[in-house]
Amino acid sequence: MKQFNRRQFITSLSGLVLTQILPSCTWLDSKPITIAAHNWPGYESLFFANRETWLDRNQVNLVETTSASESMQRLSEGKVSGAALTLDEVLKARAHGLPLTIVMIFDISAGADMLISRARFKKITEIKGKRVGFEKGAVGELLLNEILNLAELKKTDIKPIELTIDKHLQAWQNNQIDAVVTYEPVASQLQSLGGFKLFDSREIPNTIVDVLAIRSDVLNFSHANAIRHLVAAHFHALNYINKNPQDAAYRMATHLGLPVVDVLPAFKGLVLPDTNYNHRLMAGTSAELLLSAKRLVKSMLKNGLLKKSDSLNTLINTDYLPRDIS
Amino acid sequence: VTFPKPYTYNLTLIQRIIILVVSVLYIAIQPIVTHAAEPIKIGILAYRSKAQTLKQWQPLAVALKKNMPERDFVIEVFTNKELLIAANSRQTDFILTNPSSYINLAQSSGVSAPLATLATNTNGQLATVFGGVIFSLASQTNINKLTDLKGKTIAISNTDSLGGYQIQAYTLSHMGISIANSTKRISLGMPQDKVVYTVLAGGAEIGFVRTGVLEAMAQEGKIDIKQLKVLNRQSLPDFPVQVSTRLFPEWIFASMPHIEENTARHVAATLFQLEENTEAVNAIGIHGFVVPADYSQVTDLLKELRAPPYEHPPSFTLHDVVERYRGQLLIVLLGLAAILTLSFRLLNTKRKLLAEQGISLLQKQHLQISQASLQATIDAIPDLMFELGLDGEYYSVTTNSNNQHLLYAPEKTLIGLRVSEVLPEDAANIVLAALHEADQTGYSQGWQFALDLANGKSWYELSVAKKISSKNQQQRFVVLSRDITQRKTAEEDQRIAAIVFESQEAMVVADKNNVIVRVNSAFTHILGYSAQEVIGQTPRLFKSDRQDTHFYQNMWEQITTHGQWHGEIWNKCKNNDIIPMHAIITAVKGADGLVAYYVATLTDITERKRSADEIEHLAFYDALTNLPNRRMLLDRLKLAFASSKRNHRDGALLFLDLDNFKTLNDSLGHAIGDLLLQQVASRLTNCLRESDTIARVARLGGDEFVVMLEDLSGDTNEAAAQVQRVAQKILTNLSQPFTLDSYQYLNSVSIGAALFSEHEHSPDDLLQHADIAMYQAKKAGRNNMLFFNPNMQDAINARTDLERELRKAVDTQQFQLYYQVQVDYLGDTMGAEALIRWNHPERGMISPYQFIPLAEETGLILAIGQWVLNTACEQLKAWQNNEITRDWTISVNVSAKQFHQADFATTVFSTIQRHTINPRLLKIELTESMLLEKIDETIITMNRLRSMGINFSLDDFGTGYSSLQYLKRLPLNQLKIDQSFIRDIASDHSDQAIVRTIIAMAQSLNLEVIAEGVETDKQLGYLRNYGCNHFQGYLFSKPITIEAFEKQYKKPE
Repeated sequence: MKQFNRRQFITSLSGLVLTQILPSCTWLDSKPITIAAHNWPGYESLFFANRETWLDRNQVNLVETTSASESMQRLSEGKVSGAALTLDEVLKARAHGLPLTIVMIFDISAGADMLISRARFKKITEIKGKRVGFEKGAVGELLLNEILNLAELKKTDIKPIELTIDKHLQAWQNNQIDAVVTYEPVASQLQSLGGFKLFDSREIPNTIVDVLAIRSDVLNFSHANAIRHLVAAHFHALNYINKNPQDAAYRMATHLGLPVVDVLPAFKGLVLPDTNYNHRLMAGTSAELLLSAKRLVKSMLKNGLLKKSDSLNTLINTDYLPRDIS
Repeated sequence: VTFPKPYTYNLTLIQRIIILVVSVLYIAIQPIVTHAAEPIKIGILAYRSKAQTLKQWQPLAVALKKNMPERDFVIEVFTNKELLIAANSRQTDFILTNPSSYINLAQSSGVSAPLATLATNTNGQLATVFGGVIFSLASQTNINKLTDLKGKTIAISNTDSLGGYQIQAYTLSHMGISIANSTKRISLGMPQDKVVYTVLAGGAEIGFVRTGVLEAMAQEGKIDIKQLKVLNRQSLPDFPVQVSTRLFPEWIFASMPHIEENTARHVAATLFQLEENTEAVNAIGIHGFVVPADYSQVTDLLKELRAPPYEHPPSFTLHDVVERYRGQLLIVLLGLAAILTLSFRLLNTKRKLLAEQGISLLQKQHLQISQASLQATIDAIPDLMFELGLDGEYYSVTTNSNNQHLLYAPEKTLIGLRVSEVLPEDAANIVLAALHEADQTGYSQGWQFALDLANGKSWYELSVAKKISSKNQQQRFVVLSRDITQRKTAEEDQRIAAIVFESQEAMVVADKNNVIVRVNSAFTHILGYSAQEVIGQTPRLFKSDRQDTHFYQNMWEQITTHGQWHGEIWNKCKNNDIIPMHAIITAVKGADGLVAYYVATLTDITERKRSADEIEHLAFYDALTNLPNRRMLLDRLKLAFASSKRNHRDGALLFLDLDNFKTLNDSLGHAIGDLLLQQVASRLTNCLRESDTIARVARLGGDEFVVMLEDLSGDTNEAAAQVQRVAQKILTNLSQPFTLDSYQYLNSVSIGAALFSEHEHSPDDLLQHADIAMYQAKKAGRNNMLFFNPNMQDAINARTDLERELRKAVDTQQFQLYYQVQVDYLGDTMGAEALIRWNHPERGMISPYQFIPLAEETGLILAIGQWVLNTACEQLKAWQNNEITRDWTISVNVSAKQFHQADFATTVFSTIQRHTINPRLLKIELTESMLLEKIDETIITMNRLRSMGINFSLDDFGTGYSSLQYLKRLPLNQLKIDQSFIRDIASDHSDQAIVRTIIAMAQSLNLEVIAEGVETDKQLGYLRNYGCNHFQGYLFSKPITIEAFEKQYKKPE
């Protein structure tokens, strides 16, 4: 009986707190944000959270774009406050004068992007003189450059062939390429056609990173609630996907455009860091993400993907992550 | 078939003891049992009827036996309670049960971690998860959402069934609906079919079953599924059956701890391979088994529902509460304190207000009494009379029939209002000021204000007296308001007259005898006389000798007959300066109708006169050189024509233009340029003065001068020779060095000459002829003279015609864009280059080579270029909504003149915005030569466009003088290899080398390469081999109309 009374006390207490606090804080200052993301398994947590109404549409308006370039376009037009992008895309946008800050990491490619070759090469340098397909202006170009750096080759040492992802299989079948920088599910298709995996993104750890980037001018008090809510909704969805992967798979299949049995395999090669891991990667002056960004800036400058250097000031902000619970 | 009772956890003490004893006994005899190779028992929970379940799973025993022939297998079917007892007493070796039952067993019996998860098969579709179904009769129109469940009767099997109750309860509790509190439950026990029958029979409005039950019963022909509807149906296209909730991992196969590892492994291996045993899986009606799922979510569900084994709530202490809600508690306490403080203040204020209200009521009564006592006195006073408070509140208003019209508002409405609510702000402030003065001194008089009444503006003057009042009473004032409108109007008129008199213009007033009685200060300022010096004198004092007596006679005549004269008059100042003035003299008559005064207004027009002269000079002379200008030249030319006709003598025009004047201006500045023009003007004048012909020099503007020669020989040849001589003299003279400031400068001039005799042409035509000849002289090498010849005119005329038609073409849209396809490595369409065509209504297609240079010269290229840009953007917009075309790009060519316009980037941006297209799809083609022109400005413009997303291609690459240095600085995306290198690529080794170099360079600069003019497969082969990825040329298509283009390429691959 005593316990029951205490419970009652708590219920009435929390009710009182809510009526007193909520009206005075939330509507006064909070402004909503609009976020762009395209359809990619790493970003699916956002769309999932949106469908399951874990994402409050009064706080966050999620806009689906067809590609990262469209997301960048909308960012530069000021139509959205933030976008889901890869680290190199964020660096490119900053070089073009668009101040972006990373507030969260969606995923890290650890094997999802790879170089598939027709012949079984012993060393990566053997791609010299070969016709290598890749997607220009995308992660593929970045990976190709990293591969060439590691192999100590120049772009002129190979025959680079620009192919969008939808052409990779066709070009392979028509014998128009000797190797291709690609990703799932095409990568598996090529391997089943006899291709060999020569290199994958595990060999350049923390380089291909999908992040949530917010325009630096939006990172202020009045948008803080909305951004925190967005980040929290992502982690809620991620937690659900981890805990009940089968149910989540059914609920993500339609949007990802995959049969349900292919949904979970689509996350192959992707590390989806939780809150603690996000903190570990982003916090501090020697954060791994910052080191990766430094290395990336150097390599992108060298390959002409970046036209000017970046001080990396305000690149990362961990204020919007849920508190480190470790 | 018997149905077990609903399971409850209230095991009696005796039951517990039995379980314990049986378990202990079992453990004691265990070694004997296992060694005796007893059949292996598999306990399965019945979710349909026991017989049905047993029959369904019998093939599993057969399959296991087949794989492990040395052992026998027995399938045993249990209710939930029976399974618990069987497991706890170790009478069964393996179990297959639902996740919540498994979690209960794991708590009490130490069953192993899951060995495998069941994979079901519904019409060929595999599923390793299941969920709950919430259904009602399809005919139930009032039940459509989960919230409609409140107050309804729900049929369930058992509260410990995961798919048949717990998942549904969990789902509802997440929506804020408590099953226990807001619905009625009927527990029917296993199998779940009973739930379905009960709902169909109307025994309950709602039923809960696990997924698949409805479909299975329908398939067995037991029910018509159309009679039922599933609530909160989830849209999961890949899931084979209807479901109302989230999905949870399927049933678990686990082993008991006493089973030796080897046996467990064997059984597990058989389960995992079961799907290959088609016979068995088909008989059981499942897909097989998969590696075990994560069941922690089921644990979470049970904990949240407080379902067994987590039915006991965790206990906590007051300390925990304080710890957890410390922040909120503090805020609540602060909030309570704030509420208390505020309430106290509110009570206080209310009390004060009540007190004040009482006082004011009393005062009002007193006021009414005093008002009555004064009424008689007041009635006698002619002015408006008010009684006001210090704050301007009206307490009484007294009027009579004579002054009632002076009230600003009806009498009745005033009482209780304040002056600030009745009168305009200014007037109210004056009343308040008067009241305050009276309050201070006891009395106030003289405050005046005006009010706009129905019959015009009225002025009032106030007299205010303070009433003696008792201490508690509010101070009151008796206010008399007198109408002083007439007095005020007179004062005002006087004031205005005084102001007017002291205006900027000099004024003199003289009496009827023309003796000055008054002057104003402007008069003193302009003419220098003080008032004392002129009063008593007559205006003759200022008389100048510029006008004769006739002038003055006329003036006085006018004044006498018309009462006024005005005109220009020259007056003498005190310092003897004579200045022009504009005068108006008016005779002012007195009441007797005779002239009383003369009033003169005098305006100094010295400045006005001077600027009129200057304007005349400016109109005909060039300010810089003081030479006659074009207008004067044309006037004189007309005279010269007339004289030529009269005297039968020829004349000539020489049109001079300095060579390289612009360079001088640009390099040394305009000041130096102006110096040269002045010196040229004076040299021309001087050298022609010495000549024996009549010569006049004029400057047309800029560096253009014209020399007009008159009175030449009547014989054309001779006249030409004369002209030749003069021109030679000018050429020689002007080629002598000039000293401009500190610079020595060598100048030359080009001269065009046109003869005229007896007025053959208009002055304008003649000037144009001389201009054309000058232009030819310039083209012929400068520093010489050429005569005009009619062939020149024809060429000019043809050009003018083309220009006129080009203008018309711009206005009437005779242009058309043709599109030439650009393809990628695989030959797929990437987009097109837009090429302009002029479809002339009479002349047919006109090549861009013919009209683009002219368009550039005339500036028409700007309008044409904008049209091209606009049309291309329109096309991109049209392509945007089609799956096939939406990524196609369009390249447009931009002329140098257009690109270097200051607002080029802005224009492009607004065009893109207007059409709402993706800027990345627009590619601007620039040529090397235009980039080199103003490299820094070019880079700025390109960067601005680039930041909008627009791409750049460098056209005709390889034909100009591109240096790597600047290529690196330009924000380019693409190099276009010029077709001249492609034509012979198959045979010419140097072309091959050039193309290879260009491609390598582009790759190192991270630029895309496109080859244009690709005509043969052979050329394509070479280019591909060298690493070129993009192509354009007749091999793919020539430029075609948009209709043809879309017909050819806009079709699915």
